[in-house]
Amino acid sequence: MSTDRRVALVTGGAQGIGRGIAEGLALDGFHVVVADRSPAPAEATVAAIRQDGGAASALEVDVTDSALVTAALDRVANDVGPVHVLVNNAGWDDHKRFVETDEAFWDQIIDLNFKAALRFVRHLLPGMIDRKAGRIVNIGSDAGRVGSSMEAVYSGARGGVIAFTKTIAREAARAGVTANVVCPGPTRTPAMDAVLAQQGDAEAVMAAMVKAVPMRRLGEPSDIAAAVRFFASDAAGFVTGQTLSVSGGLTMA
Amino acid sequence: MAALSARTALVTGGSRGMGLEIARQLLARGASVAITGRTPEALSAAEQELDSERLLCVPANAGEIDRAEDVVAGVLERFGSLDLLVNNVGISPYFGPLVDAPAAAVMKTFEVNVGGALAMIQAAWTRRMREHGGAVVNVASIASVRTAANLGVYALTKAALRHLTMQLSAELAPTVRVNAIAPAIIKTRFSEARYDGREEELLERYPMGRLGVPEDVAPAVCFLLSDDASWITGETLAVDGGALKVDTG
Repeated sequence: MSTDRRVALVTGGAQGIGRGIAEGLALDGFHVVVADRSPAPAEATVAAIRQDGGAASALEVDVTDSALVTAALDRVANDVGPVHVLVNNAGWDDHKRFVETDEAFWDQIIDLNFKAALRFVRHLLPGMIDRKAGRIVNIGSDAGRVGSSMEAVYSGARGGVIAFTKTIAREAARAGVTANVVCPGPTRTPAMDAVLAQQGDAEAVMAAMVKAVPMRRLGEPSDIAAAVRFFASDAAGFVTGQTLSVSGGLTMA
Repeated sequence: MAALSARTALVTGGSRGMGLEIARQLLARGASVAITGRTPEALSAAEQELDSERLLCVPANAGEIDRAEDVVAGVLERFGSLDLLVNNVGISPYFGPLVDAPAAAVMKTFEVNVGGALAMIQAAWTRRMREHGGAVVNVASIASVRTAANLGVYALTKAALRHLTMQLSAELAPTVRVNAIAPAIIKTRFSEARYDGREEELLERYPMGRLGVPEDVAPAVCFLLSDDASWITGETLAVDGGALKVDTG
């Protein structure tokens, strides 16, 4: 079922920020490949996009498994078509003091939050360069710009994403391919709700977070999606290698 | 991108170059637009080119800081609102090493590039945005974050404008968002002396393989002004084709 539409692929696209990005890119006319390790939520996101008149398909993939990523992207190339927009959004962290972490944990966090983006870019960038068109938008984090307590390894991995993206931007610019980073601040997602639920007083924690943000609210997935949609657009063809925080003024790195 | 209809925008230095293109794209997205310009000839040429009933042309010199109040008042009188402000005016009267820069040239450049922008935001805030909210985009320069041979004075003022952006974004949140863009060399009359006759040589520094044009810059400004960017403030977005370093003149 190859498509006439240009194709956008969003990793971790089933839920939270990734779902917001997938829905937003569908509104811009892309066929969105919702890549996620959880098939049921991915299918739910695809169904929601189709219900709104958009085009999407689900892709089950574990972004930490190179062989699976390669196989999944081969299926996309055959079944859907060349990927014009790649959004590396999948990511996760477990909050711990660095002195409480071990090397197995580092490997897990770096693999998911840094190397996963490398796998997708390595596989898809050559085609973008051949076609002289493409957009890579990597989701970083303000943690990768200014650090974040209890997130040392994650911060390093996300900082790695930012530096990696700048270099990719330089290497691919002459082919007309852009690469940029969007750094979300604290954003209201099911994952955040789950973290809050573990805290004693979720409402107090939420109030403290809101108070720390100059815009006096948490982000919504649609806030992050809007920045991704801008970088993915044809109008942003001269913008590359940039890191944009969407964080209500929290960091200003 | 979110439409800007029912919004009123003010673009300083809107009669030529980047400012003119920003005004054009704001009009195309449905906004009412006021532009300021120093010379009546350029303003009337812009008026003819943009040809819109939603356009107001205001003769004003950004160096005359005490006129900011009048400019804002004129916009409010005509359109009844002011939601979006683009501080695009900038000058670079001194070209040479910073170490040799005459004090008068330094002060003049600060007066226009920083003082003018601040006065405009203050007037917009006091007369309208404090009550009704709004969004501001300051046009800085990639020279605000990198060194630039012979453009040191200009770069200093643009670095100050970048800090002004952060400071005011904190002070005016959550009512008004304040962001900046940082263009590299954009092909306009303003920067003609920087690229004329040496474009090929310059292109080696531009990974995208071309210099920027006003059409590259205006979409970034429109994005930051729109509700799509409603959780973005205090940020500076470079529009520079991935330029490795600033033109060294």
